[in-house]
Amino acid sequence: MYRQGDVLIVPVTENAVPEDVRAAGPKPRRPRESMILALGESTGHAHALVATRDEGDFYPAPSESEAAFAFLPLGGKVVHEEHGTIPLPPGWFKVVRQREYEPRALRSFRVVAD
Amino acid sequence: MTSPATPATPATDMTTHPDLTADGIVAVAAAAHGSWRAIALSTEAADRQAAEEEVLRLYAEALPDAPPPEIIWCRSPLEAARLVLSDTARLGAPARDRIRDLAWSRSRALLAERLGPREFGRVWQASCGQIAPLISTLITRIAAAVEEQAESEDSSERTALRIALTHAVHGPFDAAWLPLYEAAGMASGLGLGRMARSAGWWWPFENAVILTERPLALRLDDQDRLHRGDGPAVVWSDGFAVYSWRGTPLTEEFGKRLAATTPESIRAEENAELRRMMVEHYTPERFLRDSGAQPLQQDEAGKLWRIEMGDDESIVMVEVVNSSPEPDGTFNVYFLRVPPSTQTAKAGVAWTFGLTEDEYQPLQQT
Repeated sequence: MYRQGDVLIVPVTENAVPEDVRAAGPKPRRPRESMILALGESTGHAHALVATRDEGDFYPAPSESEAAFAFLPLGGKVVHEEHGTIPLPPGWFKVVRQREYEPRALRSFRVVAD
Repeated sequence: MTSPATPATPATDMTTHPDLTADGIVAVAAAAHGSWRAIALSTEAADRQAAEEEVLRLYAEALPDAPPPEIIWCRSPLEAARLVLSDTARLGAPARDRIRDLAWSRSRALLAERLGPREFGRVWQASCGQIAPLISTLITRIAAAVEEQAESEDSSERTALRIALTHAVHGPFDAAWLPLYEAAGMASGLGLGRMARSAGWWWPFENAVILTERPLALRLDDQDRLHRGDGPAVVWSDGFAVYSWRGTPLTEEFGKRLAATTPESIRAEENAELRRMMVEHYTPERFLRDSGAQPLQQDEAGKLWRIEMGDDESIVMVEVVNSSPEPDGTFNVYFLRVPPSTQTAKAGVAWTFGLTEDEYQPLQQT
């Protein structure tokens, strides 16, 4: 698994992708458009996937508390303005946003944004 | 856009766009969403000249035989409501029904008739539905804060203030309806739209009209809840204020105490809910540092800190160092709150990604 700031990228098997995520389909993107994993609220800087030879798909998280997924058949890299670039091997990835504990009965965590 | 079959709506002076379709109205209103939000939440000084000219025009239309009203400016809704109670002879009978409500309900009826009930509901939802809940909350909270300013012990002053509030026109908060009326080109929406853009709440009476200034500050959190820790969430120039933490109403006394939070005042607070607000406002990491706490445990992931909070759950946080350096070469340190049962810093960081300590094994981190 790979960590860039508040995003964790975990290699998974294709079977690990939930049915609803797969059914919703990948986010449409234009040629050469990077896949934005998470946008920093304060800075506007983004964690983004860049697919090797532009081959890859990003499946957004169905809700704030669930994970997103990505498929990079030829591998790629994850980039961010303030963090070092991390190369990624080919395959499926689960993308987890960092959360913080919130001591409330109704809402027990919130998503962190750097 | 295709032209609709012309309905048998009588051409009156109240419709300037009688041919506009439901979708056309929605499109016009959608384009104005952002500007209506800005009008509703404006903290600009009132445009007194524009408001006075417009209110005189509304009076001349509604009460053509009466002399123009005296115009009285107040600094806040509280000052205005008190004036309504104290100066009944000077103001005369309430006139909101004739100055505003009659044209308002006529426009609404006309539009509902033109669109049909189902379309009317859809068009209102699409044009005003997004902002209406926020506005309704703001009106309720401000009205409640006015009532709480009743000075006497018995309930009669409170009741009188409540009645005074029922005579008010909410000016900018008419944004829960005006986007629809304006987009549909209803003439009544235009005059009230100009009022909404130029001043705060206003009170029409037969002999006089009270116009008020807008607040000096109006603060919401990222979920559109009234929220401010270092002062009032809404405040007017006469000092009338509404205190609120993430939408929860606060007493003025606690609102002021919250703004002046210290580690000692956090520990002295007996109410757990209020103590949590104080910790969140002060920030847990600052509370931890200023309390002279020592880290419980340390590993490659960072340091684990804990503060006991009496009858409430403990505050447990991991202190981690950013893996990427800042432009000046230093590494930022930050704190993440984790569940109170956390035993190690690594387990805490793993929890923030939904993993156990054993599962969390990053090959590379930046």
